[in-house]
Amino acid sequence: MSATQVMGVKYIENEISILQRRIKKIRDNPDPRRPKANLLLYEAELEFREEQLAGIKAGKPFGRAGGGSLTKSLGFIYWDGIQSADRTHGENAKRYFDMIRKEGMAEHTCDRTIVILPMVLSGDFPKPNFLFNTNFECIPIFLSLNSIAAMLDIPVFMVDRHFDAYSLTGDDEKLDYLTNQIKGLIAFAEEKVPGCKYDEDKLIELQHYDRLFIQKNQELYDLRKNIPCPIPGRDAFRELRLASVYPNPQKIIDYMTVYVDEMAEKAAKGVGAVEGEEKIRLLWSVSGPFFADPFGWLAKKGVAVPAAEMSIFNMWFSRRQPIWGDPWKGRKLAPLEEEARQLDWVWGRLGDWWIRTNLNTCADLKLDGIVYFMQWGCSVTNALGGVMVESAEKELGIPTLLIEGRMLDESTFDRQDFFGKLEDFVTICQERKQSRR
Amino acid sequence: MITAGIDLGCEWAKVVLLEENKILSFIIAPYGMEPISAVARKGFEEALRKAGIQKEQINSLGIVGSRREAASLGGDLLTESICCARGAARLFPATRTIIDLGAEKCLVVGCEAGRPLRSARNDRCAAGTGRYLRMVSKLLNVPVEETEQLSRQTESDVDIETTCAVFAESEIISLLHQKHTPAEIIRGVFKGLAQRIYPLLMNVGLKNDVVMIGGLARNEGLVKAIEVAAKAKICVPEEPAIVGALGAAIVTWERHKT
Repeated sequence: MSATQVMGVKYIENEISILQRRIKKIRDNPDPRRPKANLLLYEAELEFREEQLAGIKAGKPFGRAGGGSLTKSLGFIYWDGIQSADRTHGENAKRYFDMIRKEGMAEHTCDRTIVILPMVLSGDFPKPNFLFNTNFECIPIFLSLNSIAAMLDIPVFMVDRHFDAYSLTGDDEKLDYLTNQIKGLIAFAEEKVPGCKYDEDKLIELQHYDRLFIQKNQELYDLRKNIPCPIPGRDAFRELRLASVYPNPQKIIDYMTVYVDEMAEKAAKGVGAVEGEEKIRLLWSVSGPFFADPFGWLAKKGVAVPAAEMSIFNMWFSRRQPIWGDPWKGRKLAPLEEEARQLDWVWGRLGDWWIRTNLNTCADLKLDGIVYFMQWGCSVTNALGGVMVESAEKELGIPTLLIEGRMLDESTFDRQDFFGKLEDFVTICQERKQSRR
Repeated sequence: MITAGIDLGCEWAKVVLLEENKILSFIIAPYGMEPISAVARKGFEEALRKAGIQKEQINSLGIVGSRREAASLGGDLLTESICCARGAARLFPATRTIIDLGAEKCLVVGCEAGRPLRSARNDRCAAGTGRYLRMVSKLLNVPVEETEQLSRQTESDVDIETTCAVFAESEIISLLHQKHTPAEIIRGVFKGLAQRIYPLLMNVGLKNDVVMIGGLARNEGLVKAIEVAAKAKICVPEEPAIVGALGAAIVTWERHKT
């Protein structure tokens, strides 16, 4: 257990404190407007953070080795660096951006991928023992993880994926290529990280939980089709943790079950998530200035955001991409083959998949427009902004708002400009919807 | 049914009183040093006086513009795209593209039958706005209103290399030192403005008829420069500054008609 690792618990302790307060608040005085399921979610999150804290203090392996199921089956405590960076805002974000600028780091890249560097380097967030990286569409994450590994002398295993989507084409040769690399990852991790040992039974168990979790999200996706949509826009954008990363995966399945039931009840009663009548429904794509709460602002104007599009999730949720346990050309995959298949995060690449995922969601959920956030540093999605506008117009007859901004840094945010454009776009969507009637 | 539309831009308040298809009166008033709410209220009262009607006869009020929140008059708060589209279509029914060039904005709207379909605007940049022209006219010691006349004094122009309104100031000073005439420079500025607006037109999809509104549409030299850049004929209403307010009066009528 290194001193640096022990030092890096401030963020986790802070999260634990926040979660404990939330749980107490719900138990003492539950807000009837909020889902009852939230208690289970916060409890599961608390257990996740407590496992991280206890594991770090006990010197257990801490890192990422692929997806959650493989990571945990190797005995790692799950390192969620990038997702934790997502949650920074206000004074914390400002402090990290000050560090980035002062240390001459690459500022003009995706905020979440650069903020994790000062978080780790300052000791706020724990340094991992091991990292996995892959040549996928998110070039900033690729660089960020490699930078952390290089700067902090962390072993990293690189997995090489093909350009085309082998999980969808059913290419055995490519699946074998990835599976062999995962075997290599296991051997490398066991060699480099004391205490790391692959447990296949554990992997099988966790893959089963991930399957259940995605299935629950598939039910939720079906509920999003309801008009009005019962699910708030903020929830549409919550980036998932798969069940396998939690110390008690069953709890997160229980949470999803209760949450889905609550949303189904709302849907059956025709209760929407927005204030008043649901006037239009939008897809929110890429990311956004979350510190400005655009979803709350939209909800007040009767605008639902039934779905967000960040990368892979809607392909799973809409049953267009196979999930854990689905057959591969009629046969069940071996556990490591399954991990190889699920490494195929299908978006970007030729660009068609990314566009398709957005348009599929719009068609499935009968959406009236797309807010496409041109996030600084997201080269792949920014490059496709114009294509998205044209494709949405041509195929679905719906408009797209291209709007620039940053995800975590507020210093360049012009509230009047941003919400002025958003409001104007909402008006246009309403006008176009009326003309379709 | 009589409705009122108020457009509160960055520098001017515009008020239109509308009865069905007839404009009863309109007012264009600069803010100067007065609070926007005071100018809006006075403009509204002056429009009522001009039309010979009482405030109680106004069925509903629509307010639009970047400073609409300052109105303190109640009414429907409206967005610019819809007001531009409605207003332009009332004056030019075949309008498909609108250029609204104001002091701090350039908004381009693609529309059909008075419905906005797409929009694009300058991104927090003064380079394609009236503010840029104001800065240049100050440098050349010529009122903005006289820049059009100035531009007619020559057929040649200069290229303004910088795309930034702030940095253009030093470039223009250099051009003056190089003995380029103010007329050539102003034509170059018009050309530069047109080049800023052109990508917005392409984003929205330029279709005829193209209508230009906002106070700067009175500047024939500027309109001509945009026509050259866009390779399209541009229609300009008799009172281009009030089209947003007219649209606001129309939209509020739609919302409250019985």
